Amino acid sequence: MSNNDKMTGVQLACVMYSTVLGTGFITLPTTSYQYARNGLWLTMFPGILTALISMGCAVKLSRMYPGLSPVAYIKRILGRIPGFLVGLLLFLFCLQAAGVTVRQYGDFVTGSFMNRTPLTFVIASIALLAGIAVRCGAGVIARSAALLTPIFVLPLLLLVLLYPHLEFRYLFPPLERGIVPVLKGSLTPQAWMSEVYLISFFLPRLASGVKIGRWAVASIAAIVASMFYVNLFSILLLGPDTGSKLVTILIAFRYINVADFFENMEAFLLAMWVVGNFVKLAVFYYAASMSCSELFRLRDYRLIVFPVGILILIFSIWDLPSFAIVAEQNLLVAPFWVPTMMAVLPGLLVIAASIQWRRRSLQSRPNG
Amino acid sequence: MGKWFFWEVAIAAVIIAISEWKRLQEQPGKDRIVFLALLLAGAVLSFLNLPDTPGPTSVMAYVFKPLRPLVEP
Repeated sequence: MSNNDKMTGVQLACVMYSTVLGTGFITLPTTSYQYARNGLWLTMFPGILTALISMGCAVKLSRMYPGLSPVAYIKRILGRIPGFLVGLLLFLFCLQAAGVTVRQYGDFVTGSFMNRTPLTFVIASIALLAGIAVRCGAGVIARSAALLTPIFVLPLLLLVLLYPHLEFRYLFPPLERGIVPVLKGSLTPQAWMSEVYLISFFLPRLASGVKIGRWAVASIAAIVASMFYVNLFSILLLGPDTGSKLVTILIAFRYINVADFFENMEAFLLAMWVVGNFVKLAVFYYAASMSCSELFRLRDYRLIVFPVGILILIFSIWDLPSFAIVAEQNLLVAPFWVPTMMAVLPGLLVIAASIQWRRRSLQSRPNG
Repeated sequence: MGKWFFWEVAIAAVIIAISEWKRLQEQPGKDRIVFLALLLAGAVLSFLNLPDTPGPTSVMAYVFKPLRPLVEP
């Protein structure tokens, strides 16, 4: 591995940010609103706990098994056959998550902007782009994340132009139905935030001396702050209508009109979200390719990158006949399925690995 | 989606196989088998009417059914 393949802390934080929010901005406000109503702006905060668990496990495991990617240490912790099965599950999870990610992106683009472009074309073109990035290696994904994340965040600042249209009365009465609806509304955001565990595929490439903890906390804070900001603007602008919109930020951007001159900002939004989704897809794609490569102990993961891309295309349409089914999946299944793979599984791995380490250190201690 | 999807995937698979041919020759047998198996899996799956074929979504909906009351509005 050449020296310029080493990741810096900023790149690490940017990868995490885009991984969570690439589709998060599209999906989360509408999904969370279904439960939380005017408590929408609070829904990001319970997710901090899940994100910290996922992140803590990723860092702990990478310190216990330095230089190994997740499937490699899963095999070492659980043994050959159980390790293979759990690794296979992780591979399928990454494939399926990449498929759903690219599908959400495709539905967003074809549904809101390019109505006559076939979905397959939109999906395949970004998958090809991500495939090229994945083939070039983790360093390229990390550098493109660092380069593109500012562009991805920039359009959010334009929301400030909506100030004259905001209605603060939509926030009241706060917590009118208690805290339970807010907690239910936070289930999907915490699922999205648990995806920070995917950073463990990049940790072996991290330059030495980077303070992982500091950058991880910074990026989690940035994720929560951005989502809080977007949720707050959604609720202040749209109020009770938030839940009926497919992509609330898009509607918010269509509202922007300064001096009858600055209009149609949503074109910016599309251009900028393409890059966020590209980074998110590339991260999942890289994770899927690395998992597959480690699973079968291949010499070079680059060979299988494009075949895995075809499987991602298949998973993006398999059993997902319409956008409604994707949305239902995000609402009813993802809140459990994603944290199971991205927070519970790493947690169990940490416990199993600690027991093994303790037993090994007891055995190696001389008797008497 | 329709019947074209299979041909799209098949053409993509052929292009991938041709472009990787040279690299494929240098790899050990296991790598070649995995490469071909993944491509073949993609081609076979694309033969189905994918959006309406029961698959991962149905499996997960079944697995997480007991937890559904927690999230239903």
